[in-house]
This record gives sequence, structure tokens and C-alpha cells, in this order.
Amino acid sequence: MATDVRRPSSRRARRLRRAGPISRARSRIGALPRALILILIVGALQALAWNVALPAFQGPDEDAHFAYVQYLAETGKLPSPSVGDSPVSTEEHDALTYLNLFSLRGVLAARPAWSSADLRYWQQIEKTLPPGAAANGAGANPIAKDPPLYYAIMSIPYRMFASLPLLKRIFVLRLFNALCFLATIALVWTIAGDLFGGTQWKQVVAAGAVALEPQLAFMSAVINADNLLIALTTATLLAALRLVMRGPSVGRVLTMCLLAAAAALTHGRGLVNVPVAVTALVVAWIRFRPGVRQVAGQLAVMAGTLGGAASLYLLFGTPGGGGAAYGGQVGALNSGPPFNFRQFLSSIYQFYFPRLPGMRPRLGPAYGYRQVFIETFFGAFGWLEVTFKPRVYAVLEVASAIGIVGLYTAFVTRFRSIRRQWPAVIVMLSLLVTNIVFLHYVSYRALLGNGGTNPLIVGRYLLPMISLFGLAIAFTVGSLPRRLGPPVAAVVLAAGVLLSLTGIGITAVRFYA
Amino acid sequence: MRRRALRASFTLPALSAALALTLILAGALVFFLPYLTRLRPALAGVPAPAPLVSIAEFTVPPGRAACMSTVAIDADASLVEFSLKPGPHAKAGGPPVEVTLSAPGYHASTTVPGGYPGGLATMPITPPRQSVIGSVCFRNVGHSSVVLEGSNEPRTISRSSLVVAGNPVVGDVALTFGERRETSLLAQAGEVFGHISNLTEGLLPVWLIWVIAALAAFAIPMGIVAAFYVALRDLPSGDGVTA
Repeated sequence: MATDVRRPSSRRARRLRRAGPISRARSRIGALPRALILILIVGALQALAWNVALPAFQGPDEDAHFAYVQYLAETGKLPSPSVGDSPVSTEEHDALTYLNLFSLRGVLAARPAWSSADLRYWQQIEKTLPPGAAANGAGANPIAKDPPLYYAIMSIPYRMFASLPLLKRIFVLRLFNALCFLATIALVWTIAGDLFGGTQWKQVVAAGAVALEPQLAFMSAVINADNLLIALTTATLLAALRLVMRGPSVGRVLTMCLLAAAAALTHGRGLVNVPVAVTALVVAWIRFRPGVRQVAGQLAVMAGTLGGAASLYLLFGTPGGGGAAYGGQVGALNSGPPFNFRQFLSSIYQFYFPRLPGMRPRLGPAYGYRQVFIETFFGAFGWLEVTFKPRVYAVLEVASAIGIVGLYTAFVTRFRSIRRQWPAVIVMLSLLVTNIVFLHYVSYRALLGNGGTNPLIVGRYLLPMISLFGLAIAFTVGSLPRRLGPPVAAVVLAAGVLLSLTGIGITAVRFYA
Repeated sequence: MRRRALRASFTLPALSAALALTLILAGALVFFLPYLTRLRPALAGVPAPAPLVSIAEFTVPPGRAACMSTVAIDADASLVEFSLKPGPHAKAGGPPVEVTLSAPGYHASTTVPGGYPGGLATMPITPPRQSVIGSVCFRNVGHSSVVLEGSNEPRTISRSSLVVAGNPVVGDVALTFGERRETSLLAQAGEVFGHISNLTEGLLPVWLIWVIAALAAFAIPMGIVAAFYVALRDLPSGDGVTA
């Protein structure tokens, strides 16, 4: 029986070895579950549709992120976060100005220069740009505080398509960017497969909920380091889960640490992956009780990987080399007024719940759960100016509340089976808690520093945890009675489709009609 | 035999997929169709948007003009919209203002009659045969000054440069072009796709944008429902998939 099972696969492996790369790729794609292929097609179509609906530079900070990619790709150097003649190149500056793309950012009444006369006018300007017009955006670029990994990766397609006119180049770069979105969907599918024992319809619900999350799909069409951060955080979670479920080996520890380090080299918010990796390793040791030599080896792998990545970054990944980590953001964030732990806890409480009698008002504007977890998590597009109708957010808030109650109920009713999976639960909780505490800390420190004007955090900062969103929905729906689960999942997926198409539609109308 | 076939078609996978499809279809009919078919005023371009926070005022003395250059005037621009109000010493409302649009091979003008209290002026114009880049001048043909409203906020300044009474000024008169007819988004789709195509420098021709839009509208829902159905159908029996 075992031979029968192995024979076709070894025959297939021999066939694969003999086949050319295209046939090999086709064969590998053919081996993917059909449901996953369909969801990836849906994801790819969404990314393409968002790319079409969103004019250049109209995603959050896209002008600055593109300027970073362009400067790195054109010169091989990192832009400066603090000094320089221009934060963007002459080419980008002229496109922002002459196509009215600068005044379009965040201004609902504005429209881009969209006529064929505008196009001819812009093409004339492009022809007269001096040599080096694409390579002079040395700074000061505020996004240059970010570590360089995403920008270094994006400079590869940039170089490949450097000869294209600017607007075409941006469109193509966004397509490459969308690969992070597709990777995230596939990773969530894989995690769901590991956790739900290969029950495919639950995998469809988890990966489908992620694919249809409008804010995530929107971000796939924006040149922004968040896309890689989301994919890497999801990949780190998968690696951490495999570590605690299958046992700690050097290979697994190395994979997880490399992914966590890559996330930290993508964005400062990627640092939350480090405590997740540490938690996973400790949990794996508790569960599998390896020998002292193995523990020492794995510890050395972790320290070596994370320490090596940090050293490489500090030596070569900061402008000029040897600069402060994250452009000095860590120091700046912690250098303001003194940290008040009680005020911090009170600010977190008031973020989610109404103020209790005797409590001091929360620092900053009226900004909390609804704005971050509902409005800007489910959908605030463009530069936050394109939104659903208020009643859509109201429905989403109620649906989320029902979902949280459902998740809690499922957790309680299935506590015994969950207890058996405690290592995976702890790893997922560590991602949730470290992310949320980190965001609250950053927001609180920012409010202390800026006099309470800008809470800094928005819903897209939750997207690195998007896997937990999909998994929570799949777990909750999958815990329903057998005949109820699939119909409820159908309702969730249908709502996701409607929300997703609405987001694309209202964005296209806002910019082009 | 017939009963068995009927029973097979009412399995949980089929029913769940049908439910998802029905909800999507119902949602599209209830929410999307009215949104796409409702008649609404159509924009033909916004050379300079209104400010976000504070209105900038550009005072034009009698006999002088404020001119904006590098303004795109589209072939469907049949209305021009801007805000104006009488100057501080006007006694009987604002003075008449002549609006002139000109570009190589194109000239059009319209006049705002005097005596207005101030506010948004929406004036008819003759559109060019094809979209052109030209200038728009507001000439005060009355005896008291007129104030044109606009923006000098860095966030909302457009590419057009403004000259008031012969002097270059930082800012823009807030200016919008519209169409006289009301139209639905569905009827406007070709025009919208043309705008998109222009902003990809022709990388996506209009026909390809039609294809992408159709794919997004049909393949996204169908793809998700198909994935869900396939996953449910492939479950072994006993996993709760038969109703």
C-alpha cells in the first residue's frame, strides 16, 4: 500500500526533474488545491482592479515610498530622512505637479488631470526632463527612516522597467507589489490547513476573508512597505506555528528567525515579530523538552540570525551607514515627556470603553476602537478620504461585535480541544498582544510628544495580524453546528465580496468620475 | 432515481454556494444598481479644487482681469463653476464678470450678470471640439471690485498659475467644469475608463479597462463562490456536508 502511494509521486518527481522550468512551474501550480488557485485568482483580480481604480501616488505616503524605491534603484544609495535638496525626484515632482496629483491627495473635491490634452501636455514635459531627473530625490524623505529591505526588493522590478514612462512604471511596480498580497493569502491558507487539519472549507473561509478584506486588497495596489511587512509577519507566524507544532529543529528555528529579521528590516513595526519568535521558541522547548546541547544550538541560531541582521542593518542599512536604527525614531519616540504607566493604561481602557467616573480624559482627540478597528481597518482608501457610508461602518461594528462574542463562545465550548493546541494558541496570542500593545505604546508616546494632536495609528497598522482575522472567522464559523457552519460562511464571504467590490467602485468614482 | 438526483442537488455544498451567490446578486441589485443608474451632475474636470480649510480671496479691480493658465478644458465641459462675491465697496451687488476661455483654435466666453449677492456661479460655455490646454480669464467689466474665491493652501494648489491685474499671485481661483446634462455612472463608464487610460499613459487601452472591470465584477464573486463550493464538495461524507 505504501509503495502504491509512493510510486506515482516518485514518478512525478522524476518527470518534474526531466521537464523544463515552465512545465515544472505548471505542474506545481497544478498540484495546488483548486480552491486555493481560485482564491489566488480572486486576489490577483482584486489587486489589478485596485491598481486601475487608484491613480498614481494616491495611496498612503505612496509618493514618499516611490521616491525611496526610485532613489535606491537609480543611484544604489539610500535617501536621507533629514537632509537633501528634494524629497522626490524632478520626474516625480513634475508628475505630482503637472498632473494635479499632489493637490489630489486627500482632497475629495479635486480630480487628476485626466483629459487627453493633459496626457499630451505631460508627455511633452517628460520628453524635456533633463538627464538625472529620476535620480535626484536624495531627501529629506520622511519614509527614509524605514529600513531598506522592501525598497531593495522593489528596486529590482524598477530597474527591469526603468525605461518605461513614469505612470506606466508605477502601474507595473504596483503589480509586483501585489505579489505580497497573494503570498499573504497563500500563507493564511497554509496556516489554516495546519490548524484545522486540512478541512478545506475552513481554509477557504480563512484565506477568502483575508483576500476580501478591502483595506488589505487596496494596499496591494499601493507602493508601500506595509505590503511586505504583512506577508513577512504572516510567514513568521506560520514558521512559529510549525516550530511549536512539529518540534524545534535548527532548520525551523533558522527559518522563523530569518523571517522575523526580514520583517524587522522591512519596517519598525516588524520588530513585534521578534518577541513572537522568542515566545515560539520557548513554547517549543517547553513542549518538546530538547536536550541542553540542542537548546544551546537553537539559541545560538536565533541570536546569530537576529544579531547578524541587526548588525548588517546598522552597518549598511542606514543612510551613510552607522546611523541610528529606524532613522532615530526609537530614540525620538522615547525622548518626550515622561512615561506615566497609569495614564497609559487609562488611555488603553478609554480607547475601547467609555470613560469611567473619576477617570481623567484620554490624551488626544476622540479616537478609539471604532476609528481604528472598524473604519480604517475595513476601509478608508486613498489618503483616508474615500470611505464607505456611515451605515456600512455601523453594520460592520455590529457584525464585529457578534463575531467577537461568537469567537469567545467557540473558545469556551471547544476549550478541551483548544487546550490540546495550547502551543499554537500561545503563539497566536503573542502576535496579537505584542502588536496591539506596541501600537498603543507608540500612539501614547506620540500623543505625549505632539501635545495630543495626532494619535498616529490607523487600521492598516493592524493588517500584519490579518492572518488572525481570517483564522478567527474560520474558527468561529467552523465551530458552529455542522449544518449551520457552511451557510454562515457563505454569508460572510458574500458580505466580503460586496464590501470589496464597493471599495473598488467608490474609489474609481472618487478619482475618475 | 429522480429523487436521488434531486437530493444530490440539494446537498449542503450546493445550498451554501447558492446562498452566497444569491446574497451577492441581491446585494448588487439593491446597492450597486441604483448607485450606477442614478442620474447625477457630471464633472468634466477640476482644474483647481476649493480649499480644505481657509478660503483665499483674489480681488479684481474694475476693468482688470484674473487669468489662470495651463487649464485643461475637456470636450464635454459645457458648464464652468467658480465662487465670487462683491468687493467691499459694492453697493448694488457684484459687478458683471466676463469669463473667457481660450486655447489654440478655441475661444469661448460667458458673462456673470451684475447684481449678485455672492456665491457659486455656474455658467454655460461652448466646449472645445477636443480637449485642449488653455487659459481662463475672469474680467471685471463693472465699476466696483469683485472677489474671486480660491485657495493658496499648499495642499490644494494646482499646476495652473494665476495672474491678478497683471501681477503673478500664489494660489488658484477654485474652478470646476461640468456637463449640462445629468448622467448615470453606468452611462459615463466609457468616459471614466478614458480618464483611467490617460493616467496610465495609455498602458491600459480603454477596451482593456472594460475587460478588467467585467472580470472584477463577475470573476471575483464567481471565483470565491466556486472556491467555497469546490472545498465543500471535496469533503468526505460524514463531515457534515450533506443536508
